[in-house]
Amino acid sequence: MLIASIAAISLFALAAPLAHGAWRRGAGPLLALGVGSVFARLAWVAPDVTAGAVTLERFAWAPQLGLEVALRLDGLALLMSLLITGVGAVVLLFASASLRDHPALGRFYATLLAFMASMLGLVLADNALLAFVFWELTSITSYLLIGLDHHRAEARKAATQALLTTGAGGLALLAGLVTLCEAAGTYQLSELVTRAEVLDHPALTPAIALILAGCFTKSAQFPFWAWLPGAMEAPTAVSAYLHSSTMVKAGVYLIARLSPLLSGVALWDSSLVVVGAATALGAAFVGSRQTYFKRVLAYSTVSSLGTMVMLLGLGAGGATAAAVFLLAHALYKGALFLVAGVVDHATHVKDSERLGALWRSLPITATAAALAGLSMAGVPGLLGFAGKELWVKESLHALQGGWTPWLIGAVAGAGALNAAMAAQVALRPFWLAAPSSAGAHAPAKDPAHAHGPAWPLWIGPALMALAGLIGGVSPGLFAAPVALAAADAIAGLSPGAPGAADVPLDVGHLVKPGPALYLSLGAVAAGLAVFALRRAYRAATRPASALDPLGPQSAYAAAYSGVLGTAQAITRVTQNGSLHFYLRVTLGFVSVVGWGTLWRAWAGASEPIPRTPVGPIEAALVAGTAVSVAAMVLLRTRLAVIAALGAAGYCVASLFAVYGAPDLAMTQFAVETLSVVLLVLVLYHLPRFPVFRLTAARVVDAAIALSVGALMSGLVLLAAGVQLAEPVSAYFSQNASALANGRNVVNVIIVDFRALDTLGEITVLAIAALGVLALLDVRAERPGPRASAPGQPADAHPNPAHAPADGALAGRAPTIGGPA
Amino acid sequence: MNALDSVILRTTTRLLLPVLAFFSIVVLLRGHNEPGGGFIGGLIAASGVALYAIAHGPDRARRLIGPDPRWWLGLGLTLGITSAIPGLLSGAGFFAGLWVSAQLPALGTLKLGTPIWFDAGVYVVVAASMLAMIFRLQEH
Repeated sequence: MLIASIAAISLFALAAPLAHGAWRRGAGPLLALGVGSVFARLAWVAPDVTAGAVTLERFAWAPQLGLEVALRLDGLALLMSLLITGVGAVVLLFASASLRDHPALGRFYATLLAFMASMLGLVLADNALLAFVFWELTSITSYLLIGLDHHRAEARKAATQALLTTGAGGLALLAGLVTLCEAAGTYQLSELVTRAEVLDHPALTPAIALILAGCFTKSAQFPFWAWLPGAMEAPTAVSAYLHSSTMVKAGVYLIARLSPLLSGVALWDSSLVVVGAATALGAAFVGSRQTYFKRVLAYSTVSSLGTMVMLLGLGAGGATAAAVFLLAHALYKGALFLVAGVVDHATHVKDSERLGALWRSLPITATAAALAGLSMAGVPGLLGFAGKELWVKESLHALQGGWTPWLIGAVAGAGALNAAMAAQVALRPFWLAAPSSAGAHAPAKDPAHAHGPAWPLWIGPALMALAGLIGGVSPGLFAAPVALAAADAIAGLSPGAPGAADVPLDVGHLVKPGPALYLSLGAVAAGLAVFALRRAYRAATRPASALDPLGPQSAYAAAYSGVLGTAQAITRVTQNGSLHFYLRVTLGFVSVVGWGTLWRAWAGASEPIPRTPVGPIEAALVAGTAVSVAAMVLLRTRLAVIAALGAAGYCVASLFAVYGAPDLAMTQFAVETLSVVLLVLVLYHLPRFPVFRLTAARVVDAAIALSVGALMSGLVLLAAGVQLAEPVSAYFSQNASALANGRNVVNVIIVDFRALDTLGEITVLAIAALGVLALLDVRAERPGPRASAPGQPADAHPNPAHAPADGALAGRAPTIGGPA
Repeated sequence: MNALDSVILRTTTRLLLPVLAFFSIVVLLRGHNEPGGGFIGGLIAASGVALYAIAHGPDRARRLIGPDPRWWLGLGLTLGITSAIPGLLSGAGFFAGLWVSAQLPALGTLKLGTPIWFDAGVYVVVAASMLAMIFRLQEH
């Protein structure tokens, strides 16, 4: 069932562009229905999973690497996969309406569904390497989705930043996972977390540091959060899905997954708490100063992710709070993002301060926004309250465990500012009066939207906000079992076992007078105060923007331009654009290193160099080659030189034929023929041979050429006498006919024994051909003298040595006497 | 350079092209047992079309091969990669060669296998990449 879920969504991804092409409007709802059926299937088994049943599925993939497709559904995987498929279905529906006229809607569906399959694979994977593969796939699909409008420079830039940040973290994660799994001796995650002996392994510290680097970049923790607000360049549906409900939770998920093993390790716990709390407070501060819908939501998402990371550092109680918070956050933040999308769709206004009284024209959306906003602020009666209450409770608990009082300050501050942000996006535009300034928009005046948005737009936020309400009022229905089963998985316990999470989530139990309640209600009140006085608040905190040059975004920009600058500096030195220079350096180096090696090998060679008798035909062919090469060097006409080159090649090819290698000879003949054709086509554009170099330089070139030629001859002679191992050719000769049905051993090797190599080779050939086309087009687009600045890629063109001369001819298409 | 204005070359090419095309296919198909194969076959085919392009100009040569060479590159790679799938599906393994043989009246036994399918992919990629470069250089 697990593999079928992933396969089904992958199949939807493949079919999506076709479905979009065939049905247009109907494709989105149809795909949403498909994803919804996967959600239903998972929800069907949810009662078993929350009762403690664990589903396992395994298939061999590459056993030699310890890699198998091992899938496992436990409480944590259930929570995540229900979110992925459930939110995914409504987001697809939303996108089908909000991106209705987008030219790349088919591609969008395909990429979003591919992301969904990857994310589902990540949370279901029970093999560390498999999980990593899916992890990287989510990074790549996220890159494609952020850059959906790739004609816009900002979208490309944001996509690149997201890919570079999460990609660098991915590399660290791979190193960390491999270190940890090798130390533990298993790649199976469910097995790994039981190997407590790994906690004494010396490699534990670097492994933790690397894994956390991966998780922190993915989940946008300080100081890596800069990519997430940038990722809001993506369509709102993508932001709602990837950058709030699912992908950014991958880091949190992996931390949670490894918690049973690593929770309790001082470095692990303290990193999570410090980085998480700093992120929660820092991002909440930055976000509370924003007014654009998506920017507020982006920073509040970063803040919430920090909260989850922090909670995961606080032991088993923190795990429960983290699981509840994760569920609550996915529901209210997904809803608010989609609400922002509806508002943008209806009014084309992105600034929440410029809108007001939208409840009149968008009543359902406004209600959904209100419910989600109340949940986000942490008002009793909604699921968000349970998450926030447990968060505060665990932080107070940690205080007794020896954590600094600063922690509680960070928690209270983040809570208050999140409440302020909730009011900013859910209260301000919908329920307060429209601002009187000229920029205000009243969407009802727009006749196209007078009837309100289409149902696929508002159904998503409405459903998610409703789920948050039901989860708050009646947690036993779905929220408590799913979240608590996840908490048990994070704590490494099975549900119902002694010590398993058994926290009542209903309001009656949570609203109990005590420091936790006062603190969280105080935070809501403080948040509303900040919101009410927001103008004064923003003015008072303006000096903080002086810190921007030290912020994460500036650090990223500096690192990015630093890497590019260094690369360009190195390129300027090593790639100066002169083919002559490259050949001299390369061949000179080969010559210096090679002669030393050859000298030692020759002195130590025990076996005599094998000699083959040389007949008159062979001698004649060698003489022919030598004469052709000499002619090539001495002749002064291009066509004559090309002809001499061809003649030399034909002589060598004939030599192959004489020595009994007909395949090689045939190929060589054809290659030589085509080379002559290509060279004629290339060189025909050039003027007569000028002599570019001084005689002294030509003497040096000749010396290098002769030296390399002699060296290669010596190496070939030597190699013929050296045998390091039994040649594999005997196996091929004996088995070509029996195993591969062919008598031509050469061809059997190419197309059967080594077919994978050949596939790689023809792929390279195809890419090289495309590269040549691209380079030729670059030149064609730039008539006039070609820039001969160092490091210009155009210099890879086959005749760079003549760069100064051919500029004058570029753009002219000469013909050999006759009509074009 | 677009076309050589030579009646002799044009006439010869008209005769040579079918011969070279046929020869290249023969070389491709017999490759498994005799010298030949997709690589050399593709080169021969490319030579034939290149000759035609020199005699008649790249425009007519492009029309001769139908779709753009880049389309053919894609087709060749597709043939190459899909030939790995039957082996995978049959359980013999990725890229495992599978063969079927049939008795043809008067012609003897016909053996067909995924390696020939793969070799056809090699043939198409080699020929298409050569022609992609040759055409573009000619049009310059």
